[in-house]
Amino acid sequence: MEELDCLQEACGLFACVACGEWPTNLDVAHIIYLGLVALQHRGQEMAGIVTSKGENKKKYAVHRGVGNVSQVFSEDHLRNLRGNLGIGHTRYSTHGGTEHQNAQPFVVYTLHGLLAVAHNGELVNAKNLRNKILENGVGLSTGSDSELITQILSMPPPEGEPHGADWLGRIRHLMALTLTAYSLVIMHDDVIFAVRDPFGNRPLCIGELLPPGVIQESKHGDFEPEGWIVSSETCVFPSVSAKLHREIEPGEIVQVTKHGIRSIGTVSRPDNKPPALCIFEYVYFARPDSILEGQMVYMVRKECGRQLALEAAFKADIVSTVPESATPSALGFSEVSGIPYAEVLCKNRYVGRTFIQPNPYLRQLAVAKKFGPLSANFRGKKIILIDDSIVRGTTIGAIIRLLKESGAKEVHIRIASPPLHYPCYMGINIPTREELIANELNADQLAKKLGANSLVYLSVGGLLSAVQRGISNNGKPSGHCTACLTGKYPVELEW
Amino acid sequence: MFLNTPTPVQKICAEQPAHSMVLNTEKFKHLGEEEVAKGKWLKLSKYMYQDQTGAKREWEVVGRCTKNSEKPDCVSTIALLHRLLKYDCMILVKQYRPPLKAFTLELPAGLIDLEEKVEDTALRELKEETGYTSAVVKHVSSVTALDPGLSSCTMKIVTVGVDGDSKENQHAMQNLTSDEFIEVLHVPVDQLLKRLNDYSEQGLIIDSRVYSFAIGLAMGKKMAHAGDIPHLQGQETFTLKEAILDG
Repeated sequence: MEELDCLQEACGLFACVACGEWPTNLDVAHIIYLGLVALQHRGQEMAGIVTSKGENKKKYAVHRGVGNVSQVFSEDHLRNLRGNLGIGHTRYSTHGGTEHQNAQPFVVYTLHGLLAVAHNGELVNAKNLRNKILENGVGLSTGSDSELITQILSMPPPEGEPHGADWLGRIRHLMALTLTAYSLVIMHDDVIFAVRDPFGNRPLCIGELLPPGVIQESKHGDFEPEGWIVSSETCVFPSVSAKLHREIEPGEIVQVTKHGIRSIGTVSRPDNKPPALCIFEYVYFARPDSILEGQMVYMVRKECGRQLALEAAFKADIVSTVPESATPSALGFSEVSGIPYAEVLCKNRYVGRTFIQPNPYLRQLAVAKKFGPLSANFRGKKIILIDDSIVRGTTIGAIIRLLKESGAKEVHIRIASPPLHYPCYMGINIPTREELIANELNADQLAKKLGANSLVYLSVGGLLSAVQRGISNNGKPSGHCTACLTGKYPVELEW
Repeated sequence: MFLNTPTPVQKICAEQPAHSMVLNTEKFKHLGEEEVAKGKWLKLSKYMYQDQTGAKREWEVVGRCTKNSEKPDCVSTIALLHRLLKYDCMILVKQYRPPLKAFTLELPAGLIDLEEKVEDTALRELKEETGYTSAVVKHVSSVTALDPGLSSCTMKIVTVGVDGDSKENQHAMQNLTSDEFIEVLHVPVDQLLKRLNDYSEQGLIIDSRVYSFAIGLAMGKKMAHAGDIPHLQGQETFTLKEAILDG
């Protein structure tokens, strides 16, 4: 995957509530910190944590900053973030700028006290909603739709609040106004609400915190959890001594308090449409060790590689990967095709993602810094190189050149996902249609342009079958958003 | 002749202020003792001694019947509980103390058995009173005075670390005798003084060693941060450090 031209705007959400009489000795601030570190792959530009003691709605501890989690939070910051519950957020910024006002979680004063909100995703009807809010006399300080969500939650629901604060009503009101895409963690005083949009476009799951000794013993059914956590992905759980409890269902609203979790509402999809989990979570975004819909992301990527081999293998000397995200696919490809797997690129892990080069020349230079050829492995050989997707094509082009200059006889590209043709409005910042290389050149033309001996993408059917094969979610409805690949959007777009 | 300070007889060190009296330690002598009353555990004695002017004086002294003159009478344990993703806590015990007619918060403690090493007593008492096993003795104090105006009892203070995540400590169980009624408390170390004040307000009496320790911790923390410079270098931070509603 070309990390420099990569798809952006997948944020990470994390929340933690301590169980039992407050204050407990659970170090909530450090747990949220560790959770965000484990979600760092979902956003490296900014991070924020807000905690509450749950004693009154008038005081939260907040710290947000630019940089990755370990840069933003020092021990002093975490000491000041002491609390009994809290939420955290990691973020990719869009359009190359880091606007401070966009830092999450958002904290606002409402009629019923302080409210903190963290959001992953992008609202498909943001423009209309924004106008509606502005018409209501609310002033906005950013262009972010996460702020829109916060403002809507600050308004009383249409049916009013005769019995005091009705957060369920407010959340339902929000969900009626916008169908996708949002996963949310919302904190008010001593409660956290976790919400997943009716299409389940962005992931969200619940974990229970258990002492390390208990987790090691397999029989921990009777053990009361010491706390509950909500996270974008399951990969965080080992870092914070937790185990997966379950995923939050599409449309579900879950209330998390010191007494435990409770599902307090579900909003259904219109016209009985199927859910639309972003398929790119499987292809690229989620960490390979995360579990979605009961299956491990690594295994899905491996299955994509197997499918790809069934569709597009031929006799080559070695199969290899663009490190590291395409490795499971390359291994799956090797398994089915029988071609041995070998490494051809050495990655410099100290060259980060944070640098967004503005022009093709600089992008090429950056690639040269990031990868070195393991020429001893491939001199004189025919290579099948697997990558997980292509956006603009510049990075893979530079890699092909690097391999050929270092002695590769032939370089054949196999992509473990179908070509990207359409923009995403749900939170992945895919470049405009014109910038997507697949809209300009078909696979053969692209191969020629990049200097590859051949180039084949995985078919949409192949991807879907790889994704669906291992789903294990107790017969609940399942569905995936493939809008960027097929142009089929889960909901009507605004225009 | 030049200054009016008396010639010092014996100075411990240069840390004495000029205005302080200097004790003539050689002149103080224990002359003898006389038992006044004796119970099962304690005895009341009269000690006769001579002060540095040569005058003979008496002092009423409480002592333990079990006292072995070479060893300290008892040991107290400063035990810090470490658990993954939880605040480090001090392990304290709550009991009814008849002499105060009240409940106290104290360090786990116990009388030293004649045959036992001090560390072993500390670890044994810790396990019996609180259920926790410690494998790390960090420090053993020299002999210290328990209540020197009142009694002849001495104590050693042992500092230990407790791994709260170890298998045995996850299944910790107290082992009390039928006449012991002890409640175990975990008090987070970085809020120790505040929590002790809270307990005090609720009517618990805090043991003076525990309270002094808490004061020391709070002061030590302040001193450690005295040189801190507000961050951060090169990173923009925009902190709404505390979002607070007025009124």
